[in-house]
Amino acid sequence: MKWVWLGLGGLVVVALLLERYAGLPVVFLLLAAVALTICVYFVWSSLTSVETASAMDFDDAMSFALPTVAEEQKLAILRALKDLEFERAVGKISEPDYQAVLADYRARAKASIQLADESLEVGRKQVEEWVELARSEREVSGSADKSEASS
Amino acid sequence: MGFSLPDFGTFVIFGVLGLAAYTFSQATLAAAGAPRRLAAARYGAYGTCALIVCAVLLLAYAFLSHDFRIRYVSRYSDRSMTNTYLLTALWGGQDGSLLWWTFLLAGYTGATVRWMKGKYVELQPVVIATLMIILAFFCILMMYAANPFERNLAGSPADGTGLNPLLQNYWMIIHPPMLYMGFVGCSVPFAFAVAALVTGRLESEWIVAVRKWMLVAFMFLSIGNVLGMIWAYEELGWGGFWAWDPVENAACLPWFTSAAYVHSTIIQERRNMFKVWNVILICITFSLTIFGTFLTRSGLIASVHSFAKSDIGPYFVYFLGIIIASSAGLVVFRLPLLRAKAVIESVASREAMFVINNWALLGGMTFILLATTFPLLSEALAGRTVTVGPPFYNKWMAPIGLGIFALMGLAPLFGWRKSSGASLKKAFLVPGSAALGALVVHALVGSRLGYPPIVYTAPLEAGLGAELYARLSSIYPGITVVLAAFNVAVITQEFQRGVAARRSSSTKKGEEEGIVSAVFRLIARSRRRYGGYIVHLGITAMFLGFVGTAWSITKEVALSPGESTQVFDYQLKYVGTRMCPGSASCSPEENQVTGRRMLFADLEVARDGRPLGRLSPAKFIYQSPPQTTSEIGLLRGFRDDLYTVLATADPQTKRATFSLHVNPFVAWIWIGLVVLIFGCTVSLWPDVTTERVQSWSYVRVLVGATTGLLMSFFVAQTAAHPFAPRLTPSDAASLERSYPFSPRWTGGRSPQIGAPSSSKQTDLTGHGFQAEEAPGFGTGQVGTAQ
Repeated sequence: MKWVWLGLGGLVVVALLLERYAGLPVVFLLLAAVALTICVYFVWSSLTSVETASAMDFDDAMSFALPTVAEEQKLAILRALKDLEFERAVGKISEPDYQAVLADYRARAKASIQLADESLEVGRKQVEEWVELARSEREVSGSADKSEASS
Repeated sequence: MGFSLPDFGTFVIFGVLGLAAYTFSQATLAAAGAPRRLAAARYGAYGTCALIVCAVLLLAYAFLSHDFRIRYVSRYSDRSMTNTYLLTALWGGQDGSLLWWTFLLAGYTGATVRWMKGKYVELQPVVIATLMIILAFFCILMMYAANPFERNLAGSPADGTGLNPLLQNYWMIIHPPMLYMGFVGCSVPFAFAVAALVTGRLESEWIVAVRKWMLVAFMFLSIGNVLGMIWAYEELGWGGFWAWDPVENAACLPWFTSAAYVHSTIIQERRNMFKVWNVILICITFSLTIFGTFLTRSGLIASVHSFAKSDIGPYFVYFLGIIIASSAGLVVFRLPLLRAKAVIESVASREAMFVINNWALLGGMTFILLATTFPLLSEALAGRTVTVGPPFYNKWMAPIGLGIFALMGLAPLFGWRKSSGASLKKAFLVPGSAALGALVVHALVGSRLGYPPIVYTAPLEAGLGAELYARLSSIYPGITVVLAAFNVAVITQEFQRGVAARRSSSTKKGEEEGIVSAVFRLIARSRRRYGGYIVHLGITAMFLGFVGTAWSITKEVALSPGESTQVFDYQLKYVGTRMCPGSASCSPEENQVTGRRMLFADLEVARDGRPLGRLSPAKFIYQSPPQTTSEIGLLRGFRDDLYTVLATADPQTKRATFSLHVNPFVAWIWIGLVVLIFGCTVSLWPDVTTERVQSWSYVRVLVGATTGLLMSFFVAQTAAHPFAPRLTPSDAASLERSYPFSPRWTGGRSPQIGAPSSSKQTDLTGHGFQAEEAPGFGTGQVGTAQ
């Protein structure tokens, strides 16, 4: 990111110098050339990402852990609860209504959280299996190394 | 042999289409189950955007270097134009405006792709693919119907034709880009809606995100429309700012639906309701942006924007058909998933108010859509073209507008799900009292000040119904003032309640909080809610400006040098005419002007004997191309604007005819816009967290910069100075057809002005003159003399 900002700063300086000594049209020509170069860079990056099985970056990898429908419902109910508290504080809802709505929201939140946990259960078991597998493989390789070393 | 600029530019356009197709294919593969293709699609989208930027910069270079080999450059620029107007010419004609549209879409696409990184992974491929289809459509248009790099068949001319003088106005530098920003901004929510429908991920989270994009589009649509009003007010010289021109109407249609969406999406967030409605609203809003462009470009309906007419309308019709068909198909396909799991429990609830508000906004949009396309519909159904004029629009839009205005104030008073009688009584006490107080004060002092609550309007046609309607509409000014007071009281009360709750809470924690810091922290904590209230405040100010037209005064008067006249409480003394450049009385700047001669008619203005300055409405006579245009003289004020137009002038006797207008509260429309932008900026302001800075921050910075820019323009506009309605004879004739109530145009027909008519004056408000024309509501033509 630092290099991007440095590049932009350099571009501005060059553009200002060009504007002074060669005129405004040339500045636009320079900027067009820079845009074309950036385009070539991205196209090249795109083609190479298709060709090579490069490692996914962290953000992209994390984005696969997208919230489930149940989790989204849970978030929506939590947001609604927050708003409800605010409305109570500013006196927009009477105490009996507040209690009734609160009870309803709490019940729905509980159900959503339970559903979200259940929906994550499959993935959690899978991860646990992978961890167990990795651990056992490490143990096997560790014991093999030890036996090699002792022999 | 190398590429010439026109060939290279065309090649770049082809390249954009190719890249968009490539990106689309990668995104489709990613959506089909190859997640690693997503990175390729993202890079491809960035590359496509960069290539579009390259194309725009190349065209800008062509304009600045006067490359008249390119037909578009030679048609819309000449060597005498300044760099600013040369760059403005980028969107001055159809071919360039399509490229400009594509450029803005590229900006939105780049920001969206950047913003989506690390989230909405399931939606990402379809969002990218949809945006690429829209980009590809505009590229195809440019390649086959409106290539901005097309060569001049007859070779390169020595000089260009020049930009339409009507467009050489500083408001036109920013009005089209702002409107385009609004139009194009609707593409992002549409892409998300398509993605949600295709993938079946229709829960609330994506809609929370999309609301921000729609709010950006809504804000730019508001800016674009109001800047258009300012341009019409200052350039067209008929004394008003909105005349229900078809292209104006087309520009405001998506505003209604985006406003409806911004409200109804809150219900989906809170109650998990209206999923179908929200998706449909997004699709309608995007379709209306394409329809608006079609209406502008097709020239099917007569408009003051006839300079934008071209033959690419059918392309938009096909594209519109594809959008509507595919959206409808997807909605039907996903209908089981879109069904709501909750119901509205009580009419006395905020969601019920939002629903009514939505229907009112949709009703307004549908009415304007039908009325605008009525000439086409009547021709298709009855075989004859029937055009509806401003009185028809005013008749129906006034009650719809007031209904929306009332609901804007009512909704915040209700709580979610249901509101008890006691809480409603408490909520309505202050706003209701304020409204009642405003009614009493207005009734008591309004007439004395010249702003009576009841302004009688003559029936538009014969009959009891028309008479009853005229009676009813005569109370609209009073109702508007009452509703404005009600809205201001509601907003004030909302802030007061929030601040009180905050201070009470902090006192309980043992941390005393001052009022000012409580206000700031309250807004910071609930930016969306309080930003929305600020937007409502801006709209209230605008309504005040709209209702001012009911009290406007128009006077046409013929004066000889030395004679004086009075309009409302302004005294005007006609000093005489001067032709610049060449006259000793011209300023050095006026004497340096080339390419036109300017006939000024100077008026000394005073109020209560106190001099306010000099206004110089004028006629400009252009040599090449030969055109005569009119300049207005404008004295701005918070209370009213004194708006003067030089109608005719006799060069021999120097006797001149003026059209004088006093337009109350017009400034409040422009002030309302600034407040609206501020409110939107508050709503969009980023959270102060340790989160890494992402593209949203840049979008918000852009919004902030726009606010600053507009405020600067606004401040710069406060001084009184002349402005020019630069009209060609054909424009003037077209305007007379379009604005049946406008003052008579003489400048466009002949600079040798005919015999001035006798002085006549219209007064609708009890200022001491005879009323000659019935006022409507909400447009500036009200009260002008016939």
